[in-house]
Amino acid sequence: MLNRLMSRGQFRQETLKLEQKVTGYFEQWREPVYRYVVAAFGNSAQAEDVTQEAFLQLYRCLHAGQSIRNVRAWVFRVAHNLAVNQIKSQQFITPLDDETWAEVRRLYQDTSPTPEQKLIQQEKFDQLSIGVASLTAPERQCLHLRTKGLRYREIAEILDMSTTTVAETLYRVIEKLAKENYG
Amino acid sequence: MDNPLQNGMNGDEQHPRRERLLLYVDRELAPKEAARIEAHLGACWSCRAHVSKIEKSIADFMEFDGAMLTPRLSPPPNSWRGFDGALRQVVAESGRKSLLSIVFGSFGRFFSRARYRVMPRH
Repeated sequence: MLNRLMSRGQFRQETLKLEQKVTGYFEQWREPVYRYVVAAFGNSAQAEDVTQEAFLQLYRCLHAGQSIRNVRAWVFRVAHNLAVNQIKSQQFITPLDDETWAEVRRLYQDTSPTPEQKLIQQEKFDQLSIGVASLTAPERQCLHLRTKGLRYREIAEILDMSTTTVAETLYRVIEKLAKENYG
Repeated sequence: MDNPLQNGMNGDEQHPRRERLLLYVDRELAPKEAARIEAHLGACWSCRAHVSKIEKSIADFMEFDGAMLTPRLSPPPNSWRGFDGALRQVVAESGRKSLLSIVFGSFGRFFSRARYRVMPRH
């Protein structure tokens, strides 16, 4: 019986440590995960819920004794899958519509130093915006995961595809962005 | 007007495929292939120009992302306020389950502690 009581005390301590650990992970990675979900799936209040839920699942899994080798990629993967399911059920809105782009262009015009630079930058950004708008969902997902610092093997795991497919997809992204840029 | 991205080199076996150059830029190649491409780039202006185009596309996009896309993402509407409460609830729920497993012996714990790979190899 004493044994049991001790293990309960110990258990509480372990629980507290785990709670702190998950809170630490949450504070470290919530922003990139949230930004990924918003950028890849659309601007939505659901992105915050999705991000939080991913970290709650992290706690559940760690608590259950699962060994997670790459916590960052794991959280991205869970958040991605939650977002995919939410799109199916509720339809995320598109990330950036025409109106937003018009505003983006206007904003940029205001911040460029000289008229020539304004023109060049505006043209470059206009073309990039066309390139970005032409990306398919997997292309957008690969791109935004890559910009968050994830390696091909991690992206492959998160999106459930092969690393070869990730490489091909990212090359297509570069071509699309470059095409708008130089073509 | 030549477009370096369209101006293919695939007919020449000496040149790495253009897709490999992105992998090279992203440091995703095995050391042996990376060294081979590195040596090739030392000799080949054409491939080096293509690497520059890839780097420029990345740099342009990152500039665009930093100046336009990221600042325009709306911050989380509830400023993460719900998380601490939600986590405490999950902790309490998980604790109840675990206490049951203590009471009913180590059988359940043995299975819950079964380790499995979350990140399979590719």
